[in-house]
Amino acid sequence: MNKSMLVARREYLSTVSRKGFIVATIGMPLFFLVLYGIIGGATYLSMRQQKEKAENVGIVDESGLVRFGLLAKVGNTEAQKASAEAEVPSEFRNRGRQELARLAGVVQIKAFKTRAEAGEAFQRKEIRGYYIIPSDFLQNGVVQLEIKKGAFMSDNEPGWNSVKRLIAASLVEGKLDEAPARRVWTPPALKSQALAENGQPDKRGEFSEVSSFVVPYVFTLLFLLSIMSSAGYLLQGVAEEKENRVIEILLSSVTPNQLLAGKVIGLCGAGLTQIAVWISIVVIPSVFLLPFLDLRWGQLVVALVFFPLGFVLFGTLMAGSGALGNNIKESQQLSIVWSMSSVIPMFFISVILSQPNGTFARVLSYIPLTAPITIMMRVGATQVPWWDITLSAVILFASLFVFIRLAAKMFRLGTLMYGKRPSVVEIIRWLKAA
Amino acid sequence: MSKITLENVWKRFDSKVAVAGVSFAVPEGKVFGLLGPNGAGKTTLIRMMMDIIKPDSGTILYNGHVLTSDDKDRITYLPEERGLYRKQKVRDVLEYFAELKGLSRRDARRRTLEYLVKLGMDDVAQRKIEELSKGNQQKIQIAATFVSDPEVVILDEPFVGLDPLNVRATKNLLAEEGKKGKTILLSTHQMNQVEELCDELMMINFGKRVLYGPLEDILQRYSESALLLECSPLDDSIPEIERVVSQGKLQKIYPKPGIPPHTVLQSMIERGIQIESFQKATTPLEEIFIKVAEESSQEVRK
Repeated sequence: MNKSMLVARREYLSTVSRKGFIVATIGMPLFFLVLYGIIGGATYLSMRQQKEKAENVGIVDESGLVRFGLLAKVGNTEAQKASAEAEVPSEFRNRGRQELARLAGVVQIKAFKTRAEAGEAFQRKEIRGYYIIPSDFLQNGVVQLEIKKGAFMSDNEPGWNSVKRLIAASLVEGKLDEAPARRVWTPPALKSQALAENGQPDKRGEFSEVSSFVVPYVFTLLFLLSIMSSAGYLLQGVAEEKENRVIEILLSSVTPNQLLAGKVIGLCGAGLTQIAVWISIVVIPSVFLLPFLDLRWGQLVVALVFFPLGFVLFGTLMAGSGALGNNIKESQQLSIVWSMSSVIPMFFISVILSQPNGTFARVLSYIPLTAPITIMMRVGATQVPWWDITLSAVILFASLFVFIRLAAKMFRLGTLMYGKRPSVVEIIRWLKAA
Repeated sequence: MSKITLENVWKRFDSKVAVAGVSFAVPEGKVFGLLGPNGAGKTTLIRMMMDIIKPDSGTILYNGHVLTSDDKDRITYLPEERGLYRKQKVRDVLEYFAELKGLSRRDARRRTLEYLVKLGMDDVAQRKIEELSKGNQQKIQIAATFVSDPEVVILDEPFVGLDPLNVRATKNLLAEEGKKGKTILLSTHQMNQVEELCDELMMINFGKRVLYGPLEDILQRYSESALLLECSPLDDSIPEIERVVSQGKLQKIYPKPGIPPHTVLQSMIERGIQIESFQKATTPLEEIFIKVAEESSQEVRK
């Protein structure tokens, strides 16, 4: 077997059998599942509790305009927050509203003749507050709400929509026919239809807009996670070999370039294994979502090209600079520059997404260190010209040769160097000399 | 025939000259000592012989041809500061090192088992390195050097940290491998080991060769023409003797220039001096080492 492949095999096996690797690989998706489970569960429970203490509000009509008999017609009950104009796809909205109403309970509206009566009811804790429709309401259009404020994020205007509808219905009662009257007190609902490129309705519905970002988002997340974790093992491996001097035995059998290549290949294997496990744990159970997702196959192809290129680039650079340290701590300090540069596009996410084909975004996709994530963000946001993607890939690919040479030099220098950690100036001088 | 030959080899690091025009030949099937004070340039020399670093100028020959990376498979190296993959099984580590030296997986497996049996350590094959005692870890380390059946073995301070039993076991192992025709290059500060094991040696200081040749010749070259005797007290009456130095029970006798030892002995016997024992006074290698190191240091200071 080729010596690089021998090193790769050992590197792969020793990485995937590390306890830390196994815990991260299996544990990470489970952690997120449990986390989301806890968040969902907590929300559900808190809603159940709210239901148990269904709220009442009062209404005091000083204007004489309100016809309380209409309450039944406009709906004297209302789901708390359910009518919030959340941007939920319509096919989910109705079901969601019903579900929330079921969970959250309802607000009962009670009529009081005077403020004093309402005030007494408040003191007896029969109601949480009361709306006052003042005598000059027709002139001013102002409704007064006296209420005991709830906690942060809680509904501090319970039943307000019902009150509005009741007033509107009272005002038009007898003046308009039933149908137009209903349109007055029930605000128009909006139903939107997503269109595909060809002008036909997009059967995947409103979700497609969100889902066009699924591949880039998942790519970025997995890319960063796997670089950080796998490269960490690589660094640890190199630092250990340096600390216990195994590196000298290795270098007496293989060249530094073979050793570096083997390590990076082994690392890529371990990283890809990790991602495969994550995908099968998280994505496969989500397959039922596929009909709703607008998975653009072009994006997948771009991801499949840029992921390995980026992975090899960062893995190589981290191994190279990591070799300059005397122990794992120093190696991590030296290689942090690469992990930091991999996340640079994240700082400019708003610029890239608002102008995905703008100069700034394009420049970032021509810089090898920022290219993988920038390109994925761009293809998620818009139609990127194919030549632009190709140019970015070619630059990244070509830069690999330069960076691999640079990393190999650092690796060669670093592996045999012990003692004081070199300064940046020293490293540059040595690299020039090497 | 020489196995490894260095011809006028130079190596600089920044402005520091680590090796300055060194030439020597390691003869095939012999034990060759590489000596020198700390920082003299020994490790740099070894790394160049292992093709880990390249010389700035000069030639390194292996079996008469210029050393290439392929020759690495036939040379193994035991570094001074050593360690192994602590979390891995003994067998896996040995097999890995053997495979890196070009053995097939099957051969690596077979040789590993054979070697472990030979060291009486086959019962630890499946144990992790870190579970072994320090002495056993050292033995595994030495086994890792021989498991691939190399032609040349470079050992840097192989006896450091070993207890007397393991020192003896290692010496026996070296002797056995030497008999099989392996060329062994031994770098050590323990001069008694060099005297005991080496056929030839080379000493380096400040990157320069300061001593080189067969051990016997060097000992001869530095030995004084003195005799060590256990005998009755001496006076100044013997004309062949220049001076006498007492060394405990022994008397060190320096004959006058040009007078052979047997003439001195004959003259002493004729004068009725009782001689219990006598031997030629040799200078221990350690003294030669110190003397040469000091001389070369003075030269550099000039």
